[in-house]
Amino acid sequence: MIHFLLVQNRQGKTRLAKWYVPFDDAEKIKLKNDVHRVVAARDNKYQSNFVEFRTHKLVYKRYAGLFFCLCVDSEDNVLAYLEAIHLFVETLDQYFQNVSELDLIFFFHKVYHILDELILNGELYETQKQLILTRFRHLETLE
Amino acid sequence: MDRLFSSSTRLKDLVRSVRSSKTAAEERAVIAKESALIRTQFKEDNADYRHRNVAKLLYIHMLGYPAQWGQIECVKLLASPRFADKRLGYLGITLLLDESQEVLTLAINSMKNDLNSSNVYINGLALAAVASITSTEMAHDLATDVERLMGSSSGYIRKKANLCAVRLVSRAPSTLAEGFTAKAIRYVLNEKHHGALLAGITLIHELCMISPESLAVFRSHTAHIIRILNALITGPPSHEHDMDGVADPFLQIRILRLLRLLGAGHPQSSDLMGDILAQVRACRHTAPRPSPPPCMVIDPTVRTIMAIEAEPSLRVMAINIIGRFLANSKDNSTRYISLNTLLQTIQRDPAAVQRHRKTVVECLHDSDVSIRRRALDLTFALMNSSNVRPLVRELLLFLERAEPALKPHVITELAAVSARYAPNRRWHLDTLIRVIRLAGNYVRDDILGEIITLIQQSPDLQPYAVLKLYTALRENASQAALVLTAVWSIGEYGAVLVHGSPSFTSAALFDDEQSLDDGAPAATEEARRQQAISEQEVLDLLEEILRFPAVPALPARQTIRAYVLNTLLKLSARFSDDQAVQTRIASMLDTFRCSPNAELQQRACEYSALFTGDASMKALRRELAEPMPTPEVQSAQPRSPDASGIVDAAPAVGGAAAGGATSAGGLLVDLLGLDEPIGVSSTPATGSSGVAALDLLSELSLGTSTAAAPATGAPAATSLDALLGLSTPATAAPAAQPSSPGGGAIAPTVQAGDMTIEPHYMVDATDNRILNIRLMLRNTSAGGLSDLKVLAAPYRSQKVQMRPLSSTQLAPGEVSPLLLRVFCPIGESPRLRLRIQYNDASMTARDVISDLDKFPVMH
Repeated sequence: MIHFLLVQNRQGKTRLAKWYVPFDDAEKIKLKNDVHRVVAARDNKYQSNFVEFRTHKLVYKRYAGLFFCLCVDSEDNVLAYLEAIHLFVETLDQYFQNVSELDLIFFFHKVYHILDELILNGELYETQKQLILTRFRHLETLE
Repeated sequence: MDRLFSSSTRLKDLVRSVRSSKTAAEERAVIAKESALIRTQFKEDNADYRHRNVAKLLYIHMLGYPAQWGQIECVKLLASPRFADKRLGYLGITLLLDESQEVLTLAINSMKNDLNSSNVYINGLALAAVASITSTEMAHDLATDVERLMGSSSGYIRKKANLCAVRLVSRAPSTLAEGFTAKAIRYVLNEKHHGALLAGITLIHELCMISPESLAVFRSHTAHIIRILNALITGPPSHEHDMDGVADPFLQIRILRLLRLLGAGHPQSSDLMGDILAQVRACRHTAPRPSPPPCMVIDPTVRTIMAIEAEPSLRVMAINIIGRFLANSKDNSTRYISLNTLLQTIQRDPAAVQRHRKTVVECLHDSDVSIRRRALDLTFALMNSSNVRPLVRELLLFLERAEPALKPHVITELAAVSARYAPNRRWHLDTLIRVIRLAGNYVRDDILGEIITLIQQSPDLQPYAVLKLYTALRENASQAALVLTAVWSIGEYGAVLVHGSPSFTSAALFDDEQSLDDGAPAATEEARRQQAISEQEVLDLLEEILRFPAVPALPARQTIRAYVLNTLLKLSARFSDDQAVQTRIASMLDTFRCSPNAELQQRACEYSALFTGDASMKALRRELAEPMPTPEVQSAQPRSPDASGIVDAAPAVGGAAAGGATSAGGLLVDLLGLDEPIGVSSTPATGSSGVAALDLLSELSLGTSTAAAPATGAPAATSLDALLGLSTPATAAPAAQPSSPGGGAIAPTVQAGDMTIEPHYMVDATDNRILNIRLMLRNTSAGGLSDLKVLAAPYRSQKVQMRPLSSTQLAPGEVSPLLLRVFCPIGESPRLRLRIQYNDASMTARDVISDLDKFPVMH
């Protein structure tokens, strides 16, 4: 399962953090820093998108200046998680129409809501982009 | 006015003002001000602005500032009838709370209401929160609601309910697994909605993981699950779910993962899976270029094939597919996965993985550290005695280029595999020397010890080793381990280095080297023939190392200097009596008499004192520089007959214990200056050296001594004695014998658990403050006693020594003597407390305390 999801920019500022396993605050800060250090140091051209992280694995992908990063169990299928990241980013992109870092900052609550439509309790449960978006737009109208 | 303004500050404005802050301090000030205002408003309990304030608070939380104080406000939002409020409230509690917090109990009521709401979207919100933060107590409260929603008519609710169920059963597996298993069979196996099926398979997987009963139940539905997978693969292509022509990889992966669990160790279900797994594989067989989605499915397929009880032919095919992926893919992610899969499957089918050795070795030189790391692990896993030569050659290349952090690991592993698979000692030695030449600054001390032990144990290789090390040292003196090994060897075998050895010129010695060192040895030999190494040359080299060690680390430099000083002392005995040589050695030692390093200074002063010219000093020097005794084997694999004898005699003792006993014994031998090693008491009923040590120590006393079964207790006791022996002059050891069997008086018998203790005693003949006691332990129970262990503690002013028990077993009615010496001041009577531990006939561990205080007053 997914232990946490982090979206960080190249300076290491966290733009989205979702924890599927309880950590205390100090641990969260440490994890954010450590993940940034590991991921930002890897050049995205000649490296795989996976790296061992403590007893787990990080699956990450860089989109422009943002690193989308999942921490998963080490025996999990990492390629599937890489595709899950891609699905999440595509969904955001379609919803915000050319998503940028600013969208994630100003509409962070919407990003969390969209994420909840893809992943719950650390498991991916919906893979159809269109379905997610239709459902999500409908929820927006209810507000 | 200010406050009015603030309550109308919207989230957007707060974000803007934070973003416009130029410094971190400015940002902190903005946040502090805003937090204070939000807090005030929360106190006023103003429902109109609550939504906005919580949104701002969540933003503050996201920036990493404290926001826990707003938890209650989020809970309040849940109770609001407005959808927007509820939605933000649920977001708030999932962000600010986790399952460990008490506040959560306040939210349960709202959650329960929302789960029962007639609005599916409100159900959805509540389900998402339940799936994120449910604790064990909540799991029980909410289980019935979630079970009901699993049967909802809306797919949107079913998929969320299924994931909720995963959460609930993982928090309360023992109570909830059964109920959810029934629901999963009823709803999930007939699920048509894609997302709900995806979540449902996850639920089944979780149930199978946590409960063996559920696993058994779902095994009976294996055929059904396979049908779902079959429909997916053979069904019409679905535009929405397919990726790169692969039918819904996410669902396939989940089902394959479930099949792995169902088939592992269960041949019946594995048989059902064979066909479908071959089909998944065959579908992609013709894929022109491996791209992520096919690999995404192939990898779990292969892992499933390897995990279940599949037919061998299917397994070989699976591994070949992965091998092909590894060889043909340019994509790092795919290669990483392939290596990982091979690593996981190698235990199951090593021969099939061996076929892809070449590809794996190529990955050792990849630019990605994750791939190199995997390839390294895999290479070590592939190692066996038939491929050790080529693979070690590759690994040495790898070692040269590896990043520093990885080197110690590689060295340790290399030392282990070369010891395990070495075709001969010569090759083993060559490999280790190569290692210390390449990465001598990363070698751990135990590896260093291993190399030196290897040289010591191979007398035929010593001339070769010392010459090779000497030559290597002249080329490069910057690798600490190489310098230490070489300096030590020069000290030990300096005579052979300079004067040569009859067997040494034999060309056959160099055969093995050819395979590893490509011609270098021939040159070495040539060099040696052309110009014999002179004593002065050796000293030149040592002097240079002594003065300017080229090793970067300071502690290592001091160690090297200390080694060189030792070597110089040894060489003074090994080299000729030529005045020039001896004077030079003395002067080299002299330079360190004023060293600021206390250790070096002490060594230099002590050794210099041995050069004072007196003939007796010279003899002493020779004696001191005697060749080191060859240590006994320390590894788990016994090499000498003695060691194996010990291991055979006491199979319960691990290799390590045997090693410990031997080395402690060796230490003792060194201390006593005996020529022949004594057999150390690892075998029951001998205990000779342990006893010798005790005799030595009769003047000393131990507060508490242990007499355990020799097989377990002796090594520790021996080393302890040996340690104490350091401070005891060997000459002061009287060889006093305890009282002869049956002699002296008898104190009243004491009952202790399943045995009686009959104390026979006698005042020592040489010292009237010592009482020799002989305890007769008699097994009075009907069954045998095992693992007997006795500890003795004396009264405060007294001391006790105890010999090892002759046996740890006591058959019914059997009597075993235990000898003790108690040192007791005149005017007191000896008092002892015994702690007796053993396993009785029913193998229950027993622990009995027994006091012995009926001895006469000492006079």
